[in-house]
Amino acid sequence: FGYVGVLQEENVEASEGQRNVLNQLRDWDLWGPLFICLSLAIILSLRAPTKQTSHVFTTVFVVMWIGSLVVTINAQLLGANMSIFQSLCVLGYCVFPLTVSALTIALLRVTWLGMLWLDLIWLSIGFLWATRVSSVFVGQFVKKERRLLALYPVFFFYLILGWLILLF
Amino acid sequence: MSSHFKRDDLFLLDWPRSSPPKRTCCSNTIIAVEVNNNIMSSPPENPFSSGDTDDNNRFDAFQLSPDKTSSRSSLPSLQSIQAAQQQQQMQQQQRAAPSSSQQQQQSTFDNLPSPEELQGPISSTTNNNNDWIPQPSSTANNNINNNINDNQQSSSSILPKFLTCGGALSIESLRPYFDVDTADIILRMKSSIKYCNVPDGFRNEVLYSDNAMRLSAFRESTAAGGEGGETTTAGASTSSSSEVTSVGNVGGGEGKGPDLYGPTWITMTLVFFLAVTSNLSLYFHHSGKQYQSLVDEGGVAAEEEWDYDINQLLHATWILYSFSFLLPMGLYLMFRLMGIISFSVVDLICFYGYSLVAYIPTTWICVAPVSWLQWLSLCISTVVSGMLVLRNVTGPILESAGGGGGVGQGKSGGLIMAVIGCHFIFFLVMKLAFYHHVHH
Repeated sequence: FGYVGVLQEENVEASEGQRNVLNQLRDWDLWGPLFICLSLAIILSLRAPTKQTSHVFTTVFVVMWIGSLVVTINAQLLGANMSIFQSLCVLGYCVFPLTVSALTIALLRVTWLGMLWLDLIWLSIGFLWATRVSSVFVGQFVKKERRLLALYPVFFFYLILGWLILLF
Repeated sequence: MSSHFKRDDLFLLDWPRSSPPKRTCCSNTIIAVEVNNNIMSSPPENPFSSGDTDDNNRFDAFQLSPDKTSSRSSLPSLQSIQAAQQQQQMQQQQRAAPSSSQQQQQSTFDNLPSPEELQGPISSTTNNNNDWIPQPSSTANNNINNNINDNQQSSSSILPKFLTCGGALSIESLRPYFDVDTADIILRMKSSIKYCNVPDGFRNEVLYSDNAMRLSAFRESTAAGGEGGETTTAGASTSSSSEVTSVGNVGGGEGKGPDLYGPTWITMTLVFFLAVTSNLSLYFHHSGKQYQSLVDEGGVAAEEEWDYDINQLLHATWILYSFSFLLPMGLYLMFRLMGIISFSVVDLICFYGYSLVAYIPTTWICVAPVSWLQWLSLCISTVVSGMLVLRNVTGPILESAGGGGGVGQGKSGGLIMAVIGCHFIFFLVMKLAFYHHVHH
């Protein structure tokens, strides 16, 4: 998936398809990420235990927005030159694969395919897919010696979201 | 007095952006934001100069990164903001006092657009009387309008100042504390375990010496440039550096100083691990009980439903972040009040933050719901992390006690006991709040 490339190359160069996507995301908007976040939060809170439905919704919402903000500010503090809203947009859209896997897990739970290890497989697919473009996006702004420092929060952010999905 | 000079100082107050650009059809907004973007680069000559802006310009007003601001100087320091504030207050007082000189003063102000008018729709909607074009108006009208404008300017610029605590927490002021590379962070994390028993080891060898650079130069055989520098503090003792100068450090190097990346992300990692492992251990404990009851009662399964507790995440967050940020700040205040000035706040935050590295393997060991194992592993990691903090903190405390500084002998002992006590309380909280299994 090119993670090693992102970490080791001097200048991160996005592939052709990724560059198209990133160019389009330059006109950022926050409606898409909001919709994705709401759908993820609703999916997870519907499957949560009844005492904790509102807690789960709040947690997912807060984690996603505050998490993206923290990741962005962290990258800026490490010396990246990126705008806050564009990176909120990119990180928000990259949650979409995790939403898809959450939906898959939720639908398959009621069938015979709803086993924990299969959930893990769907989740890891979603996680790897989600981190592809976002790591290239964040990585291209940070210089090479610090790239892992800037990418670790990105992975961590998607890991927290994936773990929340796994629980509920 | 040079009104133009004062206006530039007043413009210093506007950064970061004081008025959020609103999506109204009021054309004043667009022009006001456009002028705001150009404030630092040129004096405000004609606010109607460019009538069009692109969306990027409008929304990048929130942007805290320096690429749009590369032409301007760095964020003005707190002193200059306060100086500008004082000047503004003086101007407000002068404007409030009716006098003939004030009218003359206002006429010089009328030549330039007042900074309030550049704020945006908040002040511009009530500012209809004051046009861009200077016109002679009555004194009373100007007085009232300017008073309203001044009040509104001060209220519309409070939010960014509040959010950044008067510039102390802005991106620019925190950036020097994130001036670390991956290799630095890894070295610091390893040293937090390695040097936990060396007096002032972590502080001297990791934070304030260039051992990191020498190590990387030694390993990679490349020239390690001296990146950044922090002055070695007064309390750094070079006697202990002899046992760790395996790389030939000639003492007194300029290291990178304390960083804030390590504490924040180590704490965040630990929060996550705590929440995960405490729920895992409760789950195993519960399923173990179920199995036991199955065996004992011969086939009747326990009816309790095990649910995931999301509150563990919340409790872990506030407990750990107060341990690694609020506690060092409180200790720093205490040290300052007692006259120990060798630490900075970030130093202490670094000690506590990196001391949490010792807890990371422990959280995974504590997944097993075996009580004595949990107590033992938590004990060991508390000892390691406590040693790291103690070894680095007691040096300057005892020095200032012995040298007749601000701390007497008894108080220094008390301070050290307080540090130990905080760690012990943290240890108890970790065990009882997260890994406590109620045995029925």
